[in-house]
Amino acid sequence: MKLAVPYMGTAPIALEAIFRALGAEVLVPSKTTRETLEIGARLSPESMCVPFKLTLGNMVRSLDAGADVIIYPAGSWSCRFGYYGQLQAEILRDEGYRFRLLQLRQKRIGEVAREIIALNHGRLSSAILSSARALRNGWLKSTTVEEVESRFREALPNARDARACCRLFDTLIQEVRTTSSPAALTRIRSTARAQFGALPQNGRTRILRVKLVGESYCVIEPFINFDVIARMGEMGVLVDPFLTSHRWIGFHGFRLNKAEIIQMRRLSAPYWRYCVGGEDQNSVGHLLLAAQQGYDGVIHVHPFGCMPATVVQPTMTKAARDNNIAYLPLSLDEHSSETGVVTRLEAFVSLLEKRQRRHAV
Amino acid sequence: MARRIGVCRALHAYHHYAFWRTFFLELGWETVLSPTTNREAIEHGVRLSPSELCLPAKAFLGHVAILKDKVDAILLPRIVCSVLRKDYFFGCPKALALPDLTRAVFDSLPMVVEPVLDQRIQTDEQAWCAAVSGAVPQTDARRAFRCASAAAQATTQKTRQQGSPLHMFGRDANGRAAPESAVRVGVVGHSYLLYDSGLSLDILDKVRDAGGQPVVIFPSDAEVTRETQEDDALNWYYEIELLAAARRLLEHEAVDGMLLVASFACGTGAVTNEIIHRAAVHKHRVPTILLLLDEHTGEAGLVTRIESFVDVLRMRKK
Repeated sequence: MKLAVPYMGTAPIALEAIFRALGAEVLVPSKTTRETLEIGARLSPESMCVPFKLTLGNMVRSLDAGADVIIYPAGSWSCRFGYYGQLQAEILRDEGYRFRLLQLRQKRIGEVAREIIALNHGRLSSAILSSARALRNGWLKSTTVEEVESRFREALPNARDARACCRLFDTLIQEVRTTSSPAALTRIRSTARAQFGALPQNGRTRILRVKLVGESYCVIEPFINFDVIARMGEMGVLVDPFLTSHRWIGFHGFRLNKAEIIQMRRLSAPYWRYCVGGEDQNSVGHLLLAAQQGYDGVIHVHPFGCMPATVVQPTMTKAARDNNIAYLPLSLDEHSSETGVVTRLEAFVSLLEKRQRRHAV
Repeated sequence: MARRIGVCRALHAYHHYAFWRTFFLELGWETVLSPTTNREAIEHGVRLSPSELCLPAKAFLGHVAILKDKVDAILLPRIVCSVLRKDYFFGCPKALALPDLTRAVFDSLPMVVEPVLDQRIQTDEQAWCAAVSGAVPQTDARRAFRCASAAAQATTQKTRQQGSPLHMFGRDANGRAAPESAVRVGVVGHSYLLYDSGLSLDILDKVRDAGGQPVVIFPSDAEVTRETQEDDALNWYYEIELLAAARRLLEHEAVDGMLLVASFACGTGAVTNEIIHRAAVHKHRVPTILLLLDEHTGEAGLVTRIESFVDVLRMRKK
């Protein structure tokens, strides 16, 4: 069986390691391109959100490359996401693709377990062993990616040559992806800070800090948010996403970090009393937290037509106004143009600089 | 103390108005219902809302704007979750967040009556009692809830019989009668769109004018339950109703065509209509058209599309 994992930011690196250790042959889709999006948009219902279209495009490419099992998280919640995998599967079958859909869903946990046992030739003990190994490998890779990404975000606004910084980042991520030895991963993790620190600096003294909040896929996938972290970094702004691939797997896969969820619920309570999905509560909470922590601004990214992210917008605007923090909402879909988004980012940066000068006086 | 409570004639009012009116009547409150969506409500709503919101939600905010200075309290229901056979069925995210949205949009609001209808944490009775807990004794609230539930049940029966929820607002159910030979057009869409003449521009009448006979289904409890038992069923309660309606139209009503009506940027509709479309076109070979409505929808464009669709159906029948 050839397994296709969904593509989102750097998440496939850890997922690949996990499924590989479980004994499956994994097919990681090639990096998302304009063409992937066009395939997805052509096959999708018009008013579905862009993560649906993009993941569908990625599935087509994986199937074209020979995958025969698609794995997809699903669940029941008010957001549309829980129903994605199944609708996508129907669309793909109409297109003539033949494959099996494996839903990661609480109700179907037994199915997943049986699948793992089958991969281990029906032996329960070896299934348990390989599951443990899978979790350890996945965790190691995921934490290493997280470390590299966070050092990269810090280094970029300070780097004299932004391109060299991005190159170093790509090299390290590639290393993490290809290596399978725990020792190599530990080495990358412990030297990442020094490697980025060794790059020539540009001498900026006060770095503007912006919090990136919004819908998970748009926050994590650089293709759809026009690589907002790197782009703002090149303009000398540190962008700190509230969610990263690593935290997504932890948050949504294993429900880690309950304390943070409770903190966000408490913070957002005056404005938002009920979580409806799409990271609404986290977005409001992190906006308020960013204001407390002295961030200069907040960028809120979401797919066009995302129900929770649309309905939360007036609340975000009001909370930002009440707490005197700059706020930029960006609605993204397959028609978003790079120039349009970049212009808005540039305008936002000059606004932040102006505010900073005013506060400094 | 007698109060005047404002109820918006939008969104879930087309499902639950009978319950709401009876509940407040039993408490001795006067219900002030906003007028049918008009230009003023839509313009208010569009100005106040984020541009990507769906038309019915925008109109809801317009209704609040019209009502809020004329009443002592306003009803902002939070319709979250129904539990049916141990499975959870949610309202759409916009319905879940409606009170928060309204509070963020308006600087001042009268007292808000906000029943949190989430059967995961409390029964509906508890929710309604809690919503009015500061203003009336709990025994009164419980009695009002029981009367309202009974009224709601009777109303649902009547809606199914008449094939329209408009009797709740004291209006005649059906407009003109269609000619006998008319082609039968199954219409699937939320009541708050189909029956709100300000939003859908009386779409059912337009079908009749074009020579079609619109068939709208209000599914029975058994049909809804059956839909929830499907493998990997949707988890939105009000969408399940639409699926049940579509199923009856396709399997038992022998319709000549299906007209799906949804508002632009309706997130749940994107999924539901795709499912119905697939069932109708691929499985039952019934021609299907999807009409999306927003505040820019022009009457002429709507009429043209409905007329040509009905013409196509008539030609196929011959």
